[in-house]
Amino acid sequence: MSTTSWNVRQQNTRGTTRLFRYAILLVFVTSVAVVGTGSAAYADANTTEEYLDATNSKIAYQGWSSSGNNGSVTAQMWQTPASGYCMDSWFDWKTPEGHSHFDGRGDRTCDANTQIYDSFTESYDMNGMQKAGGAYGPDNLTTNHQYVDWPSALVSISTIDVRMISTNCSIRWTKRKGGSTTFSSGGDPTSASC
Amino acid sequence: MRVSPVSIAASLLTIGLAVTTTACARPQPRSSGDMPGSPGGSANVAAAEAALNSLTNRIYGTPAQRRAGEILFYHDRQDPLRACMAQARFTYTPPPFVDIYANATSFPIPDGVGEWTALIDKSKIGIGIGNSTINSSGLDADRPNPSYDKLSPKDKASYNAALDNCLKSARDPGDDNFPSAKASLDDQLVKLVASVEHQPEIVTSASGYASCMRAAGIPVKNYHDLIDTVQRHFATAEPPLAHQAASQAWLNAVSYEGNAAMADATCRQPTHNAVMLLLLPQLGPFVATHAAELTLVDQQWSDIIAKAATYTK
Repeated sequence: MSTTSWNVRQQNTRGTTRLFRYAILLVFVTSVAVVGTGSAAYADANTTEEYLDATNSKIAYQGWSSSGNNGSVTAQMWQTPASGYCMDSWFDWKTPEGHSHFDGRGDRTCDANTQIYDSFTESYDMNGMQKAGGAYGPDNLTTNHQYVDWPSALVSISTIDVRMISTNCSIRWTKRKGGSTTFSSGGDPTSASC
Repeated sequence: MRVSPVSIAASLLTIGLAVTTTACARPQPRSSGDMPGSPGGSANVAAAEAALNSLTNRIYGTPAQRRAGEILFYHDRQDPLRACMAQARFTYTPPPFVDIYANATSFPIPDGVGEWTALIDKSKIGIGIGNSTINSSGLDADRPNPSYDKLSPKDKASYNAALDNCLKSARDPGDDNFPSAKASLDDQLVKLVASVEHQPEIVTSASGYASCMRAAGIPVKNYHDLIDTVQRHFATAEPPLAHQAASQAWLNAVSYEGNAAMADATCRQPTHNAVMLLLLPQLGPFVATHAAELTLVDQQWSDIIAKAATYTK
């Protein structure tokens, strides 16, 4: 897991921005211009985004309602990836009592100069973000990822398999590759074996 | 999967209580009939497991019901994309439907209902991760997409822009692979199990799990950590194709899962049994209290099966 070279920013409803790692002014200006493409409008909207390279050509966005049941994930890859490479964006809720997490939501695109966007509505209200992140790497092996753990989260991302592959039933994911789109339900959200 | 780790606060609280407990501590039985090791205790554990498994199958579905839900999930997403792309004058070819429950004949208690409620079956190899990997591996497979592959670079760019728009404008079908009535029942059942698992005697018993597993060579903090750990072992191991020998990486992952399951069976049994004994008297009232919701979820599963059948005719 590498966390050394990317920027992560969390933004809450009050507009407070916290810069993790080393934020670059250019990144901020550019992100303001594009954030609207990936974030849904919620009454108590929160957003976070991860920049997976220095040129802002791979950006993962997540948006969520802090006390409701809707959210979104977006992966934007405005470049031609290395051969066989893909990028991910994913999000995970805290459960209502705040200690646990539900099946995450993830998007992956492997096609050059594309984005993939998913909005989602859960069956009942959640308790905000538990963790979120973006990743880039070989398809099904995007293990180099950047992430945000919510400060009160008790489940560290380091304990979770965030890869959007068939072995991982902890994420409901959508994958775009070769002009087609695969949707994985993640099976039963209460079971690791789908 | 839903993960419900024991809270740090609760763990700290139990440190003092656990001073004299051994690695795989047993909770104090509440009566001789409740002793997991006694004939009556074992019978009650089995009765609780059967009752909980019956309830979870009713809420979360049988293999046939789940398969029908997956068919709806597939069509609710792929059919609008195909229609939207056709409007943009492109042929969109969805991947084929993959039945992730192809080999399932029954479902055990889902591991996410509680931390300690997943069934322990020493006759089985593993905890189901390898088997699930084989069933759903088709989701990862790359397939040729002639209608896209034949496009010029310029047309591919136009195609991708159209697909951008179609994906973005698609309505979220939500959890259409499950009955809507499942959500409330799911929530209430998980809370019931959590209320049992947070009782001091259970927290005390559970505190020995990590050290017990570590002693067995499987360093995990809890059962859900075990699942994640096993998943990571399978992540880079391709499942064997039909009529093909398994790779060494796959064999290693299967072996690790088997060893992990055996260790878990030993280390989790005391806490699992204690949870089951406490749950047993509460499951009947839960079913009675939620009879109307359970009837509704039954009906909605029937509706899902009927709707899925319209796609497979």
